[in-house]
Amino acid sequence: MSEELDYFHEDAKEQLQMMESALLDAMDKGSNTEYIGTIFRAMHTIKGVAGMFSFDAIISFTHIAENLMDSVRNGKIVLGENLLMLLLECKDHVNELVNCAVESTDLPPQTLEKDKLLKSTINAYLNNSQAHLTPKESQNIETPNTNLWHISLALKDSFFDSGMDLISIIAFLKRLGTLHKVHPLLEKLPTLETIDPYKPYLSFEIEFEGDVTKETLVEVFEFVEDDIELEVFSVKEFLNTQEEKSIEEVQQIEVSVAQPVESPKIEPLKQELPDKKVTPVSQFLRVDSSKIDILIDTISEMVIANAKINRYVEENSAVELEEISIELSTLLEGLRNNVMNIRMVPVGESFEKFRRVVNDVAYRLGKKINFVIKGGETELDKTVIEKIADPLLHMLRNSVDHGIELPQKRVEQGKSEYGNVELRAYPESGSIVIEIEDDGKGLGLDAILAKAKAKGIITPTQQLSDAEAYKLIFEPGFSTAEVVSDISGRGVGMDVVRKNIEALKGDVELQSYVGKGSCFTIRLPLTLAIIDGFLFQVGKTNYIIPLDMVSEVIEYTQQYHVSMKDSKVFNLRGTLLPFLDVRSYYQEMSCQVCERQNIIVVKYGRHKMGLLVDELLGEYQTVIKPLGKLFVNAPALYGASILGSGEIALIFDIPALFEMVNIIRE
Amino acid sequence: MIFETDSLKIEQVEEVKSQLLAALENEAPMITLDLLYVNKVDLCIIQLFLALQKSTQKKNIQLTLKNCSESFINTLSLSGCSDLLKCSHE
Repeated sequence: MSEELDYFHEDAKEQLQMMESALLDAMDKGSNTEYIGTIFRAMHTIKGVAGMFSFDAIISFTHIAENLMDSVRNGKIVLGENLLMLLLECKDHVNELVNCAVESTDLPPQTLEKDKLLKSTINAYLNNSQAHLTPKESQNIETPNTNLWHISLALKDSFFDSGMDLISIIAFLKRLGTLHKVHPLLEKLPTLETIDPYKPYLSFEIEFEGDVTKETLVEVFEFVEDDIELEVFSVKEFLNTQEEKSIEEVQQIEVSVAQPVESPKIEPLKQELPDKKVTPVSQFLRVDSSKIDILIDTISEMVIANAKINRYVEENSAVELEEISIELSTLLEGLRNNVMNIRMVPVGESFEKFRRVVNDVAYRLGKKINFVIKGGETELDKTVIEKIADPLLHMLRNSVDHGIELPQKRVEQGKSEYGNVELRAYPESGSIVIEIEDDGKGLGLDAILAKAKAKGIITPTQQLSDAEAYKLIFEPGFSTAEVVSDISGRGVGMDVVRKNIEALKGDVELQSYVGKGSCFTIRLPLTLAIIDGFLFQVGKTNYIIPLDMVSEVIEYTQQYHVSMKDSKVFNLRGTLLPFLDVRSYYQEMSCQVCERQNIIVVKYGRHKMGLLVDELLGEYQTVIKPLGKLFVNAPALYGASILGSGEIALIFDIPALFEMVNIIRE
Repeated sequence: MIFETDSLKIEQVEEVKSQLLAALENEAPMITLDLLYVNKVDLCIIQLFLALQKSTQKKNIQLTLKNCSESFINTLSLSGCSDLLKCSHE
């Protein structure tokens, strides 16, 4: 894809996203001029840029959608619920057209069919709006195919810097009607010997005929409006003015011969335009994310190389080199954090896209939903955000489909007819927590257990804690829906949701109360590339856990020891916590030189546990590398890091570690 | 003079100007621009051709554009310059 096409694609996606947000806002809060303006601008901008690429299908569709929005803007059509739904369909359709254009593929038959259908529906709206106009309003609508326009166009010195080609703009203009004449004025053009090739010298006089308004013609040149001097006028109006002036002149001459006659004056066009949005100087730079990935990979290698230097300094007591090494470590850490920050993006942008899904599902099911997003500013690694989108989508669909009751049922239960669904995100000690909470009917434990037994997921006599019972809904083939719908409830989703979240080294849990609602809690690591780790040794193997999850470290002495049959727990100031003896679990060799044994207290969400380890090596910048196939069956480990010595350290998967300890205890 | 490129745009304008100036300095009675391979041009290049035409007229040099592609002719037509820069199909 060329850079320009790439830009068009990104820009179109942004415009469509803004359009969708405005449509959903209009649904929730009622329409206003701001939302209407946003929807109009989205169609108009996409049409304009598509014109530069000659994407005819997009131009033709967005043109008609723009006309519809123009009528809404002028108050001729009311932006009601049905029209909002139609415009959402239009947004989806334009998205489809854009994708086909960018991929240079022919429009599939169903898209062509949709195109026809939407256009005829829009036309019905437009015709209907005109049928209801008063005769006075009808007069204001310009008569088709009788408008002859004159466009005067002078290029300012900055024109070629705009990056736009006037010929493409004229080509776009031609699509709106008939281009009778383009007359270039060469008076200012120098000879080849003296020309500055980057400076425009030409002006143009254009005669154009088409069923368009003056505003439409001005908007054709919108993308270069700062780089041209433009005058547009209707030839008919101009001639009428001339005629009226002539009559006035005669009358005025009759009244007073001495009074001077004013020549017909064409108002400068820019004064007639509505307030233009002043585009602020952009503080953003659009960068291909793969370039950042390469940068992070390079920094990862630098972190490893730096660890080697540190190791050399330790082994050789090189004082001068040690100072440099410390400075280098500090700089590298700063660089690493800054680069990692580039990858961190607010989750809000991604969450906004779910509003549409919630809205559509609710509409189809006849439910009323008040959907709230909180903590949209919370930042998460871009890769993680992309991968979590599908699981979140599925859970939201589930909440609306199975959680929230129909309005009548809610009212009967003394609830508001509007169901509440809240999607929120917040940081929590090295993790990001995402919660989806609804105030629907909730999940009954009895129903879950009965279903699990019926499906053979658990045995009829199996006893489970509440938390374990709720986890059953993430088992393959489990569905609590009494009626399987096409929206969710096929029983194939929640296990995939859990699998996807676990693949991101996160976990998901459910809390639910019958009649009150449910809350899904997802915990995700901040990033999947480089972390601040805590390095320790057991036997001859090095291990790392994320530093943020280390609550404290204690020497394992008699005071913490608890004797309990078949259970490994320790007493931390009166609280019994489980611990994992890493040496015995991973069958490490015993440590000959260790003077003491330590317990690292690890926290995760509301839970804490201990790891019984040998030597504590301290904080370590950890570049996460995937584990080889040999480690596929190694429990609670998810990656490795290369140390300065060239040795490997294994990185613990904390959610899996907690789960494993619970299983061992049972 | 033959342009062996599909696209002549502002990015090449400096280079094209140098080539045209060199042709002009040859003081040959005729300059022929062979546009066989050229499909895309922008206003910046058309303006340069028009400036060349102004120079050739002053020096009584004949300027000919030949082997113009459909798209080149279409571009000239859109810019209103097809009557100013006549294309020969020879």
